[in-house]
Amino acid sequence: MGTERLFGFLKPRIEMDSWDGEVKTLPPPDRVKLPLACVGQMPFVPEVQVGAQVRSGQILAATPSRTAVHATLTGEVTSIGPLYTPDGREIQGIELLAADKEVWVTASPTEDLRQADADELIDGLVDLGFNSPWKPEDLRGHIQGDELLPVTSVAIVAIDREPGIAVQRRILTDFRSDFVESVAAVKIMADDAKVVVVVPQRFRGELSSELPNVELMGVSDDYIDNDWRLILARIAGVGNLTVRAAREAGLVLLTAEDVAAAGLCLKKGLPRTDKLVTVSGKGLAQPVTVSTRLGTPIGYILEQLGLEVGDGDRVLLGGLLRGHPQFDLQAPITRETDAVTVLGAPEVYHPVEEPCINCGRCGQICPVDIQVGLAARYAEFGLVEEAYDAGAHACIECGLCGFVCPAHRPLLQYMRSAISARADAEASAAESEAEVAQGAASEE
Amino acid sequence: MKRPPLLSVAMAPHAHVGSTVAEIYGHQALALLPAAIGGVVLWGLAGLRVILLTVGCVLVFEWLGTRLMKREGSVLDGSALLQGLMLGLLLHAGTPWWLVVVAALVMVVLGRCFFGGLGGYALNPVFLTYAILLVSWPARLNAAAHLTNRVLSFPAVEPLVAWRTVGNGAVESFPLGSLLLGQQIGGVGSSMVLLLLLGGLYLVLRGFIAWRVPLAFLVGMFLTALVLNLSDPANYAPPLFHLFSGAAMFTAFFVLTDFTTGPVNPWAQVVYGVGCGLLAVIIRTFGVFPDGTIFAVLLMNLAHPLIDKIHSPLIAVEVPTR
Ligand code: SF4
Ligand code: SF4
Repeated sequence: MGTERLFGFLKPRIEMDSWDGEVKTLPPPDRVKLPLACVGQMPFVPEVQVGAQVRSGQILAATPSRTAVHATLTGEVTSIGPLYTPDGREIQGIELLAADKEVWVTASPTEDLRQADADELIDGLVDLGFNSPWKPEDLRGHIQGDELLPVTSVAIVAIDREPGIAVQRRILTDFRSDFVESVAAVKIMADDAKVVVVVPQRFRGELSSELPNVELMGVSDDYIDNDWRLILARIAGVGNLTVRAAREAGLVLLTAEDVAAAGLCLKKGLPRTDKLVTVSGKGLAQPVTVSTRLGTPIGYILEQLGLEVGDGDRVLLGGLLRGHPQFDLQAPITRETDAVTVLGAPEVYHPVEEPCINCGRCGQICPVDIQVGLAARYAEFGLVEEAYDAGAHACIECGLCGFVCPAHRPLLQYMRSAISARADAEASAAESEAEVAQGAASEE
Repeated sequence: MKRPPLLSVAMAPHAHVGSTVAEIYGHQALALLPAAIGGVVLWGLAGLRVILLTVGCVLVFEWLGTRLMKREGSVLDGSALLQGLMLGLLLHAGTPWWLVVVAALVMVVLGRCFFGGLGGYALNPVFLTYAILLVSWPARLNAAAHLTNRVLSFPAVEPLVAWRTVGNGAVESFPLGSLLLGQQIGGVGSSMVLLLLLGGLYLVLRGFIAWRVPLAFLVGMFLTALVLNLSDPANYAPPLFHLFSGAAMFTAFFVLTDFTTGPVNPWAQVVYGVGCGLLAVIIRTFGVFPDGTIFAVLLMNLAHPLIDKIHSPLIAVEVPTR
């Protein structure tokens, strides 16, 4: 990972890596766990009961608006109960135990993606359970009140969020023709909106002939150039933006993997069941990118790759800079998981609650120029508003501040805590406002 | 069945560039070594005695203090070592042993622990201590009075004191070259101008201190002195005399650059440095204490949170237009 350059006179710089290797397809696991909720969306209501026998691709749970969770295995529903999201929130999940033989639901393939019209493609994707992290309906526009605001730009990111992950960029090397075809389909679905495909600079030249109708954006291998949120901001012509503002401005972000999978699923007429995940760390000479079923427990993947995990090791969903540590190897791979990183006990890094010496290195490296040291001190002592005003609201959660802090303070965590405390406060304020309004209405 | 492994969890990031607080303070202390050696060469065993006694006492008191405050680690973080060394270099070679002990105690208790230790103090502990001693035992701190029994190749009076009492006529008896080499009465090592400059440059090049602060301070001092000197060359000392006498260089590279008591934003650092240089010359020229640098620093320390409000704007979160 990055080092301090020129005797520490210049800022440390973290580079994205570009290793390659084959994508390894793992045999289906003997059990999967599928979350019944995704961020910012209605939870799914189970349509099967414990004990039911299901086929691969069958609908397990759905929302009133037809988005669904599909079985990624053939087998029996063994439980419906609590499950943890990668960042530790409790949601409902459904567990399947594999049967001996895999049976798929009947497929309804789309003959030629390029001949279909937008509604056909979007409806097709909804039926195939595309629901997270984006909804195909997003491509129709953003609903605000009674209005449908049209989409202005669609960004397709074929770059990974962190060094050490090779998922999105592998789509360009290993699934190039599927990707190109799918981008054409996205272009149809997005109608008049501008479609921007974001790729590592080195791919830009060779792709320009294959993707003639879209805008190609090449990014350097500097870690911070690869931040998805800042890329959206760049496309929108602003410095930085929130996810909500992006949505309201009609921006949609799709990952290259989601796009490629969407095209493939439409062609095959089967729901999505697979996910690419880069596994790296202890015991592996080189990181490996594997293709596995959604819902596969981390432990199964590690076992397949011959990785032993022992006491005191750390297992992350995600990479070194942003990843979420897991306490349970049964935690499943979800659509948002791009990497599993294993750190052996001797290499785990422990931030400490030591005081800030005010050296200023965190603020110097922050890509959005937050006064991190100050904001973090506010957050540390529960002064959420002050932390927010000092810049916490602009944090893109890149982790660089914590990476350089000589006092080893958990800076990213302080920023995250301020952000979530503020979100909670806003939510409860909105709630009590609604209550007051309701009270006033009933009094009248 | 084997029980599942007990995994370690902690918050992201899970990698670190490798810098530590001890590394930073350790290098700052290291950069003071040339000046300390120069001081020992000039003042002999008496100088060594003061340095070792101060550092030793500070470390012991700091250890006790952190024990009492139930804090971990801070003796090993190097900041006590650095500040002990700084205090030792600031005291003159004839300082009685009991005063050294008192100074160490004042610095650890009042300067550091009282404000909550490292990262908490609002005033530079070294200069705060020196200021307290200066007000409490002015005669004891008078280096010239306590170093009389020596044969010296240079005038046995502090340059700034000579200038304040005799006026600009005194300046000629202190050639810049010998000031630069530390040939002046003062602290054991705080007047080793050239050696301090070398140490400071090392720190700047390695990125252990912010380069803007010392540069701004020296520029501020130079310009203020220059303006005064040009307005009345007979009464006001020339700029380089200010830069090379007393604890100016020591302040520029080792005191003002203390992170906790200074600003972090680039322009704030410039304002802080220039402001301090200006104040230092003014206090030296018109104040009661000849080396006003100490009080200038303490005043700027107090103002630093305010000054640090000068910062480049955040790359703001905006709502794009459709
Ligand atoms: S994680 Fe730290 S460095 Fe990155 S944007 Fe947030 S505050 Fe700035
Ligand atoms: S890098 Fe760490 S010690 Fe330095 S100012 Fe930031 S929080 Fe404080």
